[in-house]
Amino acid sequence: MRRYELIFIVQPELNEEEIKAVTDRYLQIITAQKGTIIKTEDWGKRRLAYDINKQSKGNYILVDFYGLGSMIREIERNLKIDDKILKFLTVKTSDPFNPESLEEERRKEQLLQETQITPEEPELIVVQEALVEENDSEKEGE
Amino acid sequence: MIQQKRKKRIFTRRKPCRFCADSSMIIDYKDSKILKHFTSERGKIIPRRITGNCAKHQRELTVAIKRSRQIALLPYLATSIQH
Repeated sequence: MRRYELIFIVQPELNEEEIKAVTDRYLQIITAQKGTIIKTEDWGKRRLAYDINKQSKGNYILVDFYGLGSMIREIERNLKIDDKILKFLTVKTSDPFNPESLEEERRKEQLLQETQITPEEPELIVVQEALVEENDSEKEGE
Repeated sequence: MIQQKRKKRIFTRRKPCRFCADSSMIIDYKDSKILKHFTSERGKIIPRRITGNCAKHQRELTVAIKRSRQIALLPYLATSIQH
């Protein structure tokens, strides 16, 4: 098993439903190839760093999944044919990948979220600013 | 002493590698905000001797920037007119 990350850029003119239909199609292809989807992310419409097919914007979709290496060819073949897809990129994130390690990862993330207290620095700055403002108002009062 | 050896070496303090110093900074090709710091205005990758990155992280960084370019998060080349 290998873990992959697939990003593809969908045409900007499509509405939300159409984008969903496109992503669902690829999720189905992945599952049909005995892949398991870990998560999907919709980044929304973003400006492209350079024009692709005369488009300056595109909808980014990220799919995190794992499965056998041979499935990638089939997925990429489909992506290549589809003219709703401006560009795509598959990146291997871990090889070999053990699905059991996922649970551990999730547990760690949960722990992080639970223990994460709001960072101290911004608070300090706010406090300092508040002090300065107070001083100013005092001066004005005098 | 016909030729005096020029001793014009200016010693500057070597910048610490930002990725080594801050372990929360992770090199990721999806995070174009961080990667942008390590590219010039033209979109070129800034050499290690200037940014002070360590060899290990610079290697990872170049791969990340190149991937980021492939998926149009970073430009291959940026003109000064374009934002």
